[in-house]
Amino acid sequence: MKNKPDVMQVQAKQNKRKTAVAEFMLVLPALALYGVFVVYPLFGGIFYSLTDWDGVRKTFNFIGAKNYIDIMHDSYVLEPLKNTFIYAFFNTIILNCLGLLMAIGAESVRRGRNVFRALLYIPSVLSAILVGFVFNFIFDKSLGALGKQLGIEVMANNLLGSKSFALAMGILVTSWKSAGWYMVVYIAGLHNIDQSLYDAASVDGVTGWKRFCYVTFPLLAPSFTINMVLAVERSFKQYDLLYALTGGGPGRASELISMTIYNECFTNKRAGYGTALGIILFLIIVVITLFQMKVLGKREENAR
Amino acid sequence: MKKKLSMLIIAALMATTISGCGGSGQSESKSAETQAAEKAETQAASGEVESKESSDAADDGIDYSGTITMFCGTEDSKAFDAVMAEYQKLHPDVNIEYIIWENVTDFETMMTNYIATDTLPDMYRGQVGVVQQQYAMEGYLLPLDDLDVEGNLVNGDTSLIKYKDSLYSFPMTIAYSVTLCNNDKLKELGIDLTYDNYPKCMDEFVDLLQKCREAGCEYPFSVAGSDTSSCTAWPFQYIYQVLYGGNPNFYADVLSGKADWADPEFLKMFDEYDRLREYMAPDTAAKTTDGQKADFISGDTIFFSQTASALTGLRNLDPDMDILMIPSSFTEKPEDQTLIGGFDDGISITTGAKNPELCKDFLKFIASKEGCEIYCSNSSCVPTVKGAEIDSDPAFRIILEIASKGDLPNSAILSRQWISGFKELLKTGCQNWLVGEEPQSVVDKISKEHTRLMEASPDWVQNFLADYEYK
Repeated sequence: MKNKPDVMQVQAKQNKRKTAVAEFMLVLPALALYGVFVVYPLFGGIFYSLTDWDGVRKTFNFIGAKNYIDIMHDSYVLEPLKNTFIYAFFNTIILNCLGLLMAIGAESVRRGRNVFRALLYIPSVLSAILVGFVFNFIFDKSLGALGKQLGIEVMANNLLGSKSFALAMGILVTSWKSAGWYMVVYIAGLHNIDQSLYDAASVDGVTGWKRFCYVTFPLLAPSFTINMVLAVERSFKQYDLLYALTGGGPGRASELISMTIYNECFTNKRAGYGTALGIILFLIIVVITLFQMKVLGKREENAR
Repeated sequence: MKKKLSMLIIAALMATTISGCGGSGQSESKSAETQAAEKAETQAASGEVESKESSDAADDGIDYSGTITMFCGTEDSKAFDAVMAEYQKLHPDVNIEYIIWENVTDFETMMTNYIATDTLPDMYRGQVGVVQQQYAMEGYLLPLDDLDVEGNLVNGDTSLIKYKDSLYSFPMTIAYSVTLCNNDKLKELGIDLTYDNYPKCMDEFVDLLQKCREAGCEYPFSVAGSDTSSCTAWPFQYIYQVLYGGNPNFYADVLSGKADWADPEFLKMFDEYDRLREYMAPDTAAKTTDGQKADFISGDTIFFSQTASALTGLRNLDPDMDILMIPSSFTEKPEDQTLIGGFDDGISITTGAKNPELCKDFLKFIASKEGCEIYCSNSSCVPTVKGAEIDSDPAFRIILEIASKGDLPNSAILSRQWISGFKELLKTGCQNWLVGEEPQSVVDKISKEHTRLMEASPDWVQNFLADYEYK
């Protein structure tokens, strides 16, 4: 015969198990969706990257790491890869600077703060394709006319048609569209800063720029980490906006690696090769993200 | 306890929602598809044996029903709607729904997705070309031989709509690759372009451009540099007229290593086009097709190279505009000029068709004289069926007169017999040239990247050369 504490222990264990099952059931739909839309395509992609599938044929051959070896010798992918790194580098910097400035600006407004925030956030909910086409028109007509007025030839002839400016304009338009999202994360970070720290800083006579450098910015470290990681990851995966804006041109001046992946898969009918490029892009993003997490994580610890 | 209860309630709610959604979706789709699917299964089972008999279904009085999913271009739905309206007089329970592609790249991308997910639409209208042959080779298209519609076609090159002697695509138009002209603007400038005085060679075309400039139009020639179709229509016209005029086997020679894109014959294209460059706006490299259309309709520009199908879009924007189409004139001598044209806008039935017999019957109706007349009257197509007569768009007046009189030899549109990715490659090359890169550097890059494509698809090269008939 079991004594009372034993029965209670068994009951507690059973309850715990039941709770765990119930919790698992709750997570199951999300897990299933994640499996179908993330895990399965990822492993599917890895599988196809080891084949010579052209995207049309019903059959394909398993060719091992040949696609990966070919990519290492393929100068064709170097230009878009270089463009992608340039794009990601400047985009990350501009997005974070702009996002932070907008967050501080929005928070300093006393009346109509919410309206101001909403106005700054609106571009980030617009469709990237739509933004691309609208800016295409702006560069052609509005900025073109302005360029003519000012006598700036390159602007008058549409900056998107210049090899030197097309990618830079892509960075600017992306920054305009996405900065609002980063602003929201920074606003959340600003709200988490204890007001007493500002009060203490004021007592010590620290105001303005110094207050930002020694109080605000260090304590925004968690928001900074999130924004840096996401900005890099999104920049490397950018496709739609640049496609609508420049189509990767003129020539291949603003072609990003995501466009090359698309072209290889669908235009050049090299689905296996394109998928291998996709896997390499995935690895690049993973490596950079891990590096960022390590460096920025240390910074967060120091800020505490 | 409370926590446990609330979790259970949430779980039950979620399960209900999920199963509820799934359940209703299932029943809806079932109710919508049951009839068609059951009928398709029955017909598919008997279709193989009875295809010949059932291809004459309309005549035999078989009553079809169901919905045909048509994958087609933006401008095609109006023509298909008109044909369907007439077809519904015979089969009132048949409907058509559309999946729209915007351009050839879209078409191929979406087809790749349909193939990968085994969700091919019932029928499609696509550009006639080597891609269709590839689909036929891989077994994604139904042969149309049992419909006996090939005999309906006017004379023309059927090599691109057939695979291994079987018809897989019925062309709805003869596509002419032309120079489109804003005749309203020309008249305003005091220039009268007629059958007798249209430009016959590059010199005459450049003279015409100069006349337009002197009369007040600064940039009379236009290329939408950021658009693949516009950016390649232009060099393709040169390739058919001039390059193939000199060596009709040029591409086969490139693939077999006897010729190269960096050869002087192709390099010369950029020298010739350099003469047109000064008549093109400085913002050409970034010009979109919408921008080009706006410039054309407003009279800011007067000429651009494109296939005649561009007319449909222009008519939608300005139905009353006086547009003229003339043969492209990129040859050195007038006597070398050709009219570039060939069968296009092919309609095919896929092996994913839910009701293949219905699709065949509908296609047979479109391919009849009556169906073709309705289709072409509601689009800018030139009828391909013998005896079909329509009031052609006046923009065709010079082209059709030339074609009917046989004034110019025909340069068949062989553009689609390129290795996958070539069009994009040519676009990139032309854009590089438009932004000032040296022609030699441009052709060297085209040559290098074409070699890369050849190395990536040795089977395609081998098959092309094995099937190629040297001219």
